[in-house]
Amino acid sequence: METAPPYLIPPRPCVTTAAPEAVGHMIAADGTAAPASALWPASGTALLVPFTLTQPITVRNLFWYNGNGDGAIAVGPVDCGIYDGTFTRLLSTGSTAQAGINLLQTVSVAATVLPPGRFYLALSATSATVFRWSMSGVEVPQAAGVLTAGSAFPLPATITGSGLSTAVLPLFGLASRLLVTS
Amino acid sequence: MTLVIPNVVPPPVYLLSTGPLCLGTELAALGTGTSASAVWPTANVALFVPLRLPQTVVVQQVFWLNGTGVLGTTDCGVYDVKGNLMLSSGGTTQLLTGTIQYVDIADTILAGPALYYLGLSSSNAITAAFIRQNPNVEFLKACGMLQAENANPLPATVTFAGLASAYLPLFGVSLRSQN
Repeated sequence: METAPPYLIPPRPCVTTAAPEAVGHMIAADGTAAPASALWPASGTALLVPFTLTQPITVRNLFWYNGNGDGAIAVGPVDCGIYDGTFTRLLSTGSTAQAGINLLQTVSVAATVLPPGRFYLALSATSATVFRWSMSGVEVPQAAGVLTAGSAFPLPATITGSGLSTAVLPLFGLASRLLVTS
Repeated sequence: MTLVIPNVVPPPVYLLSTGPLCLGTELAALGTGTSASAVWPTANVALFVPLRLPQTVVVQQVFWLNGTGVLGTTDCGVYDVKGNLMLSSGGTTQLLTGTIQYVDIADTILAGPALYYLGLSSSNAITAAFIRQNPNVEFLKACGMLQAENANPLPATVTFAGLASAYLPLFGVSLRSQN
């Protein structure tokens, strides 16, 4: 039997929400304005953004984009991680205090190889402010495969996603190199 | 005999910093504005943009988009992920405002699939020499852009550093000799 060669376009060094491996095309097609700082939609809620890998990638950093702190409201903590297609957590930062207003915050993780397949970027928080898109409607990220989970801070070992109730989509992701911001 | 069509999308003829193999999707998703002419952030700094090459190609030209105030020398090239220079124009005097400036290079094979970095450096941080996008610098960091100081002309090996400027120039390589 002959088989076609695999589609081997390599992944980016940084795979974010905005990447084509994730939901970047859908965000672009929605004509959404640039991400801006805002409060996390609901305390303890996790957002799960699907992404697909066609080649293995070694994850060395997870990161998110901190917001402006929203004045008097305390920020953080945040938990960022990756789940596989069966919603089993593969790695995460654990509860991490936010540091740096209006800046990317990176957390080094033990180098972890992800094989080709489907995964979810996960971000969970309590009272954080983060940079996020506000999509035209909740149906748009829902149609892109984004899920939510309640009572998911810190990120649990397994997670049960459910339909979205918010049109908010944060900017966060993974990096295959140690260097992201400095 | 069974004919099998390879499931590989050929790369476009121009591999552009804002194209689909670089940061085009992210820029669209991040709602960045139109490109405009602007001053290079720092003299002799080089900026690097990730390039996902899906298959082996032969590069015949490099190019960049000149702004309204050309001056000094520009170098345009490609690095591998370890910071080794694969090809470049060498230091080239900027000519003709508001045009794409092409530089022929010796035909150079870039093996794929692989990740590379497009690199552009300039000696001129005085005049608005390049067309660029300028989204929030944190956006560009999240997209994987990097920089290096004292890198004009582009060195044989480079040590990547974190990006410091909200400046994404429009530049790239061409897989044909005509323009």
